[in-house]
Amino acid sequence: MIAFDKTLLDNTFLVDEANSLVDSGFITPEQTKAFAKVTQTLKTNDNVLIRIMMFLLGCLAYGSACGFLSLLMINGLDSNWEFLLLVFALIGFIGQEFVLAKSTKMFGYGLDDAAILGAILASAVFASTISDDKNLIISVVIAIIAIFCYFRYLHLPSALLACLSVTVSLFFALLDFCKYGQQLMPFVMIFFAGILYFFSSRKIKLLDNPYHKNGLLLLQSFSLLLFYFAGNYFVVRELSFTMEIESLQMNDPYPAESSEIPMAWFFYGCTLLIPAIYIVFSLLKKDKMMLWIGLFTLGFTVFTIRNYHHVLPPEVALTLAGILLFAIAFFAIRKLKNKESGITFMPDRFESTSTLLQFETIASAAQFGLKSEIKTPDSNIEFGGGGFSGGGAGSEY
Amino acid sequence: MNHQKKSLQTLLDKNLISETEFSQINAYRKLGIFSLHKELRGLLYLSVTLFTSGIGILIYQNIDTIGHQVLLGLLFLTIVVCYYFCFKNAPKFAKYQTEFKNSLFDYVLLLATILTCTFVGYLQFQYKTFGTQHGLATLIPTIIAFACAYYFDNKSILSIAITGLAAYIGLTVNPKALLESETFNTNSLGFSAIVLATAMIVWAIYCEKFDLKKHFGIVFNTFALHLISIACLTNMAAENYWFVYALVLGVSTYYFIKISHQSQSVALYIFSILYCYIGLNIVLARLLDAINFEHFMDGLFFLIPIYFVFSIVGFIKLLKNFKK
Repeated sequence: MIAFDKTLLDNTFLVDEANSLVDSGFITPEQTKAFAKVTQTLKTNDNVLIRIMMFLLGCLAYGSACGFLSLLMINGLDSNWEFLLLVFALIGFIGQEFVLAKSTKMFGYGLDDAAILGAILASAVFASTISDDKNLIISVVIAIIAIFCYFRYLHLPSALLACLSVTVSLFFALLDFCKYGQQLMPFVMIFFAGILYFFSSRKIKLLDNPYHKNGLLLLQSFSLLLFYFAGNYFVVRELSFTMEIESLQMNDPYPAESSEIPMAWFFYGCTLLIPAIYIVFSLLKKDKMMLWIGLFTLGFTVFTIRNYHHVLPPEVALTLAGILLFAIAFFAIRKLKNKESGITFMPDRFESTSTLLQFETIASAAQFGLKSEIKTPDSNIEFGGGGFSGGGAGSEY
Repeated sequence: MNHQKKSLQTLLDKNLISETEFSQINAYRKLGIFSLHKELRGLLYLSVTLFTSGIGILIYQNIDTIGHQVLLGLLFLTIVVCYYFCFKNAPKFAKYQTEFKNSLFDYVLLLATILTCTFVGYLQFQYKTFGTQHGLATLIPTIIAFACAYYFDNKSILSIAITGLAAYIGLTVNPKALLESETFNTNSLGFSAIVLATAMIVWAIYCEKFDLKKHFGIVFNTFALHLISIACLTNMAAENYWFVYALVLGVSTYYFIKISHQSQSVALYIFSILYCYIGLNIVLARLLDAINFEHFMDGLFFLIPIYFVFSIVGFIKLLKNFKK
């Protein structure tokens, strides 16, 4: 199923592993340099910035190829112009299969991202034009192609797209074919997420080659997020409000605000409990991804609660939250400072902290940077008070 | 994870790693380290952000209501306490890279610096302590921030200090302002931006030569690159002396590409070629404008797609080159 040469692919993963050993300081760079020279691998771009640049360039190239083709063919295609979209998609797939994957051997290079995602986009637009904007058909088409692309090219963005489109397909299928679809939606989604989670966890444990490791990790994180959002009070309430508005007749009164939903206690319970469960379990199971998702969902829970219950004025809430977080981190660090195995504050040799530090440098310049006073001579804030400019970031809390 | 063991075994079989390294790695993996280092640091950063934002709004709202001396006193007290702990736990000042034994204090320091900015701003707003010369109210926090950045070795604070320095001469140089293109309000600031950027480059070279906090060089260079390039580009689009700015841009691009290769910094490289490409296009447009290109209109339309294709291929080539 995989389009790439197996030995090259294996070598690519091996060199990756060797590089991670270099980064963690177990072996010297010279050791891998010699190894990488004699080992043939697929071409990849590990640097995200270069990959994004390549992706953008690929998009431009793909777009101009399509545009050129349209210019040539536009006169002959007055009525059946939809088929041009199919040709666009074919350009992407053929380019990816024969040029990028087979002959130039690119894997996660940036240009291949452009080809695959562009082809999927063209197919989706084609599906939408011939099906008269049927949501279900569009999402099923995207799901099928994205799953295929993932398995053939091990393409992670396609895997994400596949997860999303399968979920969306389920959503529309439930609405279209089930009488109580809307009412059952949260429960079906929670159930679906649970299945995905247990499936991916089992598969990861049994994995003996690295090909699908990242894909399965992605599926696992996606299922955790879906599980939370399917039961989140805010999501359920606002989504049912949106659907209610869409089903309104011409003369019905237009509700200004969403109203209380049935079984609110259940959804409040989910909103509050799931992040806590995630965080506790992640510490027990030593699962980084789950911890991050737990922290993120905790933030969303705070947002959900504050959206409906205005407990404290924002500035007090901000200050108190800052103090509370600081206290938590302070005591955690004190407790973990001297531990050398298990849960610890020591940096892991296999994880680099440099990205975090770079991010912090840029973020502090953005958030706390002083502003020129010449810019706003009439403004009330005449000084470059750092504190005021940071307000945007956390205003939900 | 079975495959991890497998690939390590393969690396051993291929003689990339020795037996001792193999056992070292396995022993380390057996420790089952689950490091919360990044997460806790992230939490600390978030807490500083939330707290300073909250305090900022609180002060602003209560500026005339509750006794502002009390507020001022509390703020001052917090700053003093923060600095006290930082000094107590700081490593001895050294020219090379140092760090706190406990990275908690990086964030205490950040808090102290931001609160200092707020404090000075508050003093100025309420009491006009520094007269109507607002520049002083920017300069003082800037100096404090620079001192802290160098003494405690903290890049975040250094970047705040640089924005302060730029603000002093009338520029807003934070990434958000860049995106909203409000860095320059008048073109006359273009010249001062170039001077400031040049000064930063010179300082970075000086530090490199005399081994003074070498790792700060990348921060200075990044700010200088964006400042100088954007100043040149805006002036090339608007001013009459565009060729002067084009020359400056050319020289700076050459310099930064050299620097990016030296320091293996992808971000510097990509941004310098991007700015250079935009600059080239402006020059091209200016030249076409100068030679009354109406006569060549048809030919031009024919050339545009070719130019486009060449640009894409050129960019890909340039990016590939950097990897080697």
